[in-house]
Amino acid sequence: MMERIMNLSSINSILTSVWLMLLGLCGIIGAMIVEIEIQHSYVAIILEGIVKVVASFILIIIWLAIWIHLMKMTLAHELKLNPEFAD
Amino acid sequence: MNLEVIYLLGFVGTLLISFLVTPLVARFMKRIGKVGRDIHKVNMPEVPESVGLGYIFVFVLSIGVGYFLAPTSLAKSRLAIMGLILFLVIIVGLYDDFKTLSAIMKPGILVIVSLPVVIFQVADPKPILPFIGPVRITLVYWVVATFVVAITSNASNMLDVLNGSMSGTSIMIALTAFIASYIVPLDTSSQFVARYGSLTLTGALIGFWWFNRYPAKVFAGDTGSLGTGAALGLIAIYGKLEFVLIVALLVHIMNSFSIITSIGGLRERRDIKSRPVIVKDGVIHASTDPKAPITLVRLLVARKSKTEDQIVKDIYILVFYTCLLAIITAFLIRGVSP
Repeated sequence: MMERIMNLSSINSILTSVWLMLLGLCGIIGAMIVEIEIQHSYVAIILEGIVKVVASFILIIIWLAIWIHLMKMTLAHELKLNPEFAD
Repeated sequence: MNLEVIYLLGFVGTLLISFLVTPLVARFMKRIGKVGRDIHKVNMPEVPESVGLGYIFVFVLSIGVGYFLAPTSLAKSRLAIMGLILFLVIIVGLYDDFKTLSAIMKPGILVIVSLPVVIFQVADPKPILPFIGPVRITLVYWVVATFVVAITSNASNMLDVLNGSMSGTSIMIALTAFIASYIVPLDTSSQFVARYGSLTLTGALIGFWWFNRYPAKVFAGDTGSLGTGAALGLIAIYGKLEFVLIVALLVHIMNSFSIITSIGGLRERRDIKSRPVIVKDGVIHASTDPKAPITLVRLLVARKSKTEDQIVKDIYILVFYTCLLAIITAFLIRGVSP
């Protein structure tokens, strides 16, 4: 029973980390999306928008990469602890 | 009529009709030879497939009824588009069940059938983010909205691997959407779509889950799993619960995302040489092959081999946890809502 809870806790840890990162990401991306000021030229507005979208995209990719890494690490760790594969 | 009474009647109605319809659809599928082997059982019994058609059709009908009961014309428009898209998803699911769609075709077609979301633009492209509040991301919103149905329906489809895993977890997520609609301040139209949609979906799913739970007497098939995922995605968009449902669906997203990344994109099942798990005498063991796809089930049995019912309970616990995180997220959104 204890092992079962421990196994789940590692996946729960991934989910908690992913959720916290998602909230952080949301805060950063949300803070970037501010009302476009009228005194800017049309080109500047477009450029600003593109930079924000690209920056958000990069942040999301980093978030996903960390997520994959966490899953791979957890799987390798869990398999090591399995007595069936001890040798 | 009081809206709360409508929600309650919708829930009870879909639950009862789904409960009555499911055995009839199962009998029909068995008669036409649409059965599959339950490979996780020792005796590998034959189980009727594509039975999800019954409950998802009941849900679409309830959406049709909701159209006439909706308090605003915007809510009516949203329900009409939901009904249309779900109807198209059912056709895609049926085609996939009977003729099989390729791994790339399926999400591609799902993106096409969800185009009415963008064409009719009756959603509000200002999602409310935690800590930030409502943000106007019009262009990005519509681009993302195009893929929502494809993502959620495929995620739901990929988790439909064990008895009751998809239906049971979807019940929890639909209920979370219903609870969240009382926490997040919503306009009348979004409120009706979120509450009515989530509660009628819950009812339809419970009526089906009763027969799909371990040991399953019916399988949902792609018709049911794609339809359920699409319904959740559409409730997220039209009920303005986008962020809450992303969090509630984290286990589904994690499963599909890890499968896709570990096999290097969308691939045919027959092209994947190594299986993620091995079934021996009703016990599911993790594969140690580094080339095997990383699935949620493989992660759950990595430390200790388990039986199917134990794994399903573990999945329920994980989804219950993400639903709690989603409720916390709803409170964070409430704090910054105008």
